[in-house]
Amino acid sequence: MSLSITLVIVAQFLIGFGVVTRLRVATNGFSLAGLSMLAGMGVSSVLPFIVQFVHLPIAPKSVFFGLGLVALLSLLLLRGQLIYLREIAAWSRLSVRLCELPFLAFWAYLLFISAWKCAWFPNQPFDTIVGPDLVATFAVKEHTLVSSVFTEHLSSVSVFSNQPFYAPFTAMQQVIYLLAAEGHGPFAFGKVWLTVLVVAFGLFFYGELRERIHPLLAGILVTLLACAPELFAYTLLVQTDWANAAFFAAGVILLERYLESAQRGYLTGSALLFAMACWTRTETIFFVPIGSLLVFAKTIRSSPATAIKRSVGLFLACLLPVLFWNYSFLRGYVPLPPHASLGSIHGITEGYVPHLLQIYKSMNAQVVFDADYWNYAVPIFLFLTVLNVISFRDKHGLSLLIWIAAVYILFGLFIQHIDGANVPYTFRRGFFKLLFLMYVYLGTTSLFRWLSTWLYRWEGRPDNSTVSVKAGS
Amino acid sequence: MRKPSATPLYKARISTNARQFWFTQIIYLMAGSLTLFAILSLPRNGKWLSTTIDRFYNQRQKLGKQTDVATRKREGYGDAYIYTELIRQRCQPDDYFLVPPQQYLIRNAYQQGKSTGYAWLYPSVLYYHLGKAVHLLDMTAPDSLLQRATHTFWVYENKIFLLTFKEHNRPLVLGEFRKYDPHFFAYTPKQARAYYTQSKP
Repeated sequence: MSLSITLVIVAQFLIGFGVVTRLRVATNGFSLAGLSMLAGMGVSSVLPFIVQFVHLPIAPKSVFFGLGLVALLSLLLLRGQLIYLREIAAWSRLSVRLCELPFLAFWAYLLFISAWKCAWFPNQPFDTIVGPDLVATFAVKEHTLVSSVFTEHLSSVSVFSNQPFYAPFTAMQQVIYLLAAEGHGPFAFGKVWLTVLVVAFGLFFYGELRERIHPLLAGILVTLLACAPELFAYTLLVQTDWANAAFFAAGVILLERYLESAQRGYLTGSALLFAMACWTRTETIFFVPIGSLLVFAKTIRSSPATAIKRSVGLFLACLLPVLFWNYSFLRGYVPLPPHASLGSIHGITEGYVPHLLQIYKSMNAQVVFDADYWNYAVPIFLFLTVLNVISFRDKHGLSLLIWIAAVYILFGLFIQHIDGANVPYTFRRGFFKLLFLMYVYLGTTSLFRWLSTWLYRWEGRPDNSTVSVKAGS
Repeated sequence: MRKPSATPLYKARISTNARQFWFTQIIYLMAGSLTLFAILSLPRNGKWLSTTIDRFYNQRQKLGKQTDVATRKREGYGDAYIYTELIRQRCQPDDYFLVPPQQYLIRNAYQQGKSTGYAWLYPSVLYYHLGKAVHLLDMTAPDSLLQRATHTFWVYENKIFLLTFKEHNRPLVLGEFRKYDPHFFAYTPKQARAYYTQSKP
């Protein structure tokens, strides 16, 4: 790995490390490392815009200086956090057990080939080369985000869709990593950030599951997800959806912690990650109200004013990147061709309900129950959910089931009303979000907690699946 | 008074605990391995690993040693690389390449592009590969601009050639291209096939 790419990764990690440590949202060393990288990648993707707005060229020197500066500033957030860091980085929270080794080896086997394919091949998906990578490539070539793609090309052709106007996270990561690769070497195509993101999310996801349930069970759940072919395919194909699902699921996980503990650090962390999810795919903003409603419902009894403030605050935090990208930058800063379509909403038509039901039917047939995409991940989730509900009949993980149901319902409405949204592409890749949430849910069910307790008792250990690290105030 | 050293009983307890610990760990290792084996042996998982993942590893064995960027682009971009390189070699930055209507290529050279649906012809794909190596024009450009076109793709005997415009062939080519909808675009091979199987224009 070239020195500049290593430095970029380190800088992004440090940016996130300061923020995540300050918020005290990680529960162990694995989730701290993963979440730091995720948050750092998210925050750093704003940097090319700052460089652009201060009239500096999009070039290695300016962008890397900016990254270094933000990383240093972020390290200032570590003041007074040493005890917390010691606590979550304790050996008991980091040590890997023998039973985890086979799973780790298998994931490494999959990750290795994913990383190789991702790095070796140039970007291939149509959506990427006419969208984020087109924007990034010319931003790097022409040293400006307002490149000839926007100023000359789009206005001179009659056929173009909305891919160049996709939310900017993917394009900005491509910009940063293309600058670091300098057009040569094994990472010449700038795509290595996707592998870094997959590893980061994997660490966080596994770290969180492992904190709630026995590592053996966490390993089984992650392996079932890892064997979903479609989910795996997008660990090597640069698109917006994997990153979006990772930010979204991480946001839901932190919000779940907030609903359990009412500690504000989790809410702030969750708002940051949801905002990043909206910064990755704009339509995510339609799913954020689910979180706002859950926050509202949780807090309304104790303090109605706080309930309103926090739920609205969560939504506004996510609206900010959407407004910035779609209105300030695209319609304000960048001259758009007059026939540009950034997506439009169509109203209620005749036969509304039958058409909507037809959409849900297609979603189920073409995506949810298409085993070629997910192998056993969906049926096993459904089986274990039914088993858990029948056996335990309690409310553990109910909010996650609400997330899953609401996101699914909203996807149908979204496809019904938004031009260009469809089942085979939009929902298929949007389903990554639901898949992650399904397995987060399983990790919180009474069934898995009961199994974990049983395993811990068998080995003569106290059940350490509860979170003892305090989140930020 | 002498402090009692670690007694044999204490040592024995530590040793029993350590033995117990490792016994548990070994059992877990076996349980983890067996569970993983069971998951990977499920028919769909097994098939995925032995086809897709194996194919990827074979691909790595075949291609992994080649590190130069041009080879990787050729392998990754397929048709797009072949045709855009042809344009790059034959055109100058002040030339105008007329993007033929996609329907024209699908209709006349379907076999050649059926696996890609001619998605490489999409103007933004051409711009992604060519940048400012040539000016791109499409059939919606005003007639005055179309007259400036210097090159295009033309089909002869079901094969695509790079054609240089001359005074004598320009009316013929533009006349042929005008038979097709310039706004049509098939994004997938399926859409291209659907168009191809329709009646002729």
